Amino acid sequence: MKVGRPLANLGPRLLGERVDSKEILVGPSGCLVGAGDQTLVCEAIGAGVALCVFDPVAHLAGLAHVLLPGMPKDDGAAARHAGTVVDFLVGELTAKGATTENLAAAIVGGARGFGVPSSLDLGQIVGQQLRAKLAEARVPVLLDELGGHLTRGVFLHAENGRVEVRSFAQNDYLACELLAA
Amino acid sequence: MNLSKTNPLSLTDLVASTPDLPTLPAAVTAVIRETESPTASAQSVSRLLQQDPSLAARILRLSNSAYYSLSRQIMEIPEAVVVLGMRTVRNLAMIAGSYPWLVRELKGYELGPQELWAHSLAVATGAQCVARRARQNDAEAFSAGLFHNIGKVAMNVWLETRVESLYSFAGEERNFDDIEREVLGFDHAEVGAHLAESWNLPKPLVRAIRFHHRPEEANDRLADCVHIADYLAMSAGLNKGWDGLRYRVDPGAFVRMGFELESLESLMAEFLGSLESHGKLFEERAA
Repeated sequence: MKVGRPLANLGPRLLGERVDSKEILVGPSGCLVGAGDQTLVCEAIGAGVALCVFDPVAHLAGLAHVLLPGMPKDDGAAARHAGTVVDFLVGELTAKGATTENLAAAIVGGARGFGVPSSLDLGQIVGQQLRAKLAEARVPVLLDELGGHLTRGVFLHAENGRVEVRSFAQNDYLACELLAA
Repeated sequence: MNLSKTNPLSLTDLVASTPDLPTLPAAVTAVIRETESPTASAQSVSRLLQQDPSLAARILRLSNSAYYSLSRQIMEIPEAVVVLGMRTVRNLAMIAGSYPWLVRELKGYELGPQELWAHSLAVATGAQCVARRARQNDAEAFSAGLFHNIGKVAMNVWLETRVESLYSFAGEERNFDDIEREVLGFDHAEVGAHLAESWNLPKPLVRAIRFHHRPEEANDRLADCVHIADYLAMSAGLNKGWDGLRYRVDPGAFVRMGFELESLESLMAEFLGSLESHGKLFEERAA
């Protein structure tokens, strides 16, 4: 489902206001799981990638703000790296009752500065690795929105798997997708 | 006031007619200059800071934060200088002195309360990481990173009335500083450098603020440090303003610092680690 109209009530949140306690903020290189009526929020995704994963049966959602490609040097940083975050997040979700076969994903972000050579383009490198790892885990990607120069806000609703992507620069909606077949 | 291209004002006129212009406590600028002097001592730095009791109180509070995990509480400025060192106390003085300005909401840039602060501290932290890796002066890099966007605080009042003009550039592939110059005649880096000059900050700091978007013109490693750190912070999403990643990256900055381009990943990992620990500056020390 693509929605092209702005959602006016999302604006203030991107400017730092908290709407209610059901929103859980995921910071840079953070990774969290939410359930029920909770909404997971990455307030600002720059070159990094927001990995959203959802189980429509268990109503469980996971959101990670992935900033680094490859594998971590120590086990404690599995959620930070594209090479390990998919297994980590799927593991967190299944431990809470999700079923791998039900999962669907979205990847959003990967903005780049002007004149950035491919070796400095973290978003594309992270994005490619996430796609490969999601394919390996047989988790379909229902929304793939990487690139551009915009900082994006990402909201993932655990109740229905709705992913909302909003831009600062244009003060409007970029995309909305339900992570359920 | 007319800020159009057809009737441009000088930078001095613009700054002179800006209401509520940012200021830096005199004790902070004095300490910055003193710590660059070969004759600086713990006594001379302490004496300068003690001239501003409110600033001194804020420095003591930061000195006793969870970040430093000291086994005992620091009660006086001379003790802070001895225990933490002159460079650290200089950084704390700058944090304490600039905080009231950097936490402001800047509607012209679509920055909420504290958002410029979060970005500035992130760039200061990043610049420190970059400088350490290249064996450059990391205290100076921290200062330049902290103040690099101070010009936005001054420009905000003018930009706020022209937000619609900004939106007209939304679909264009242009650097944000180009757009600022188009809309206001100046960019925040120029205005920030002008402010830094008026505060009598050291010339290398002024140059780094002026050239942080085009470091190739500075021929100065400090500007390269801030440029790379700015890109790290923006990449990590620590820049919530309208400008996003409308930022021209100069790969030459990496080369001039002696880094391989591939080192961005390891720099980012180091930066994220440092950023996490810098957050503890604002946490109370465990009893």
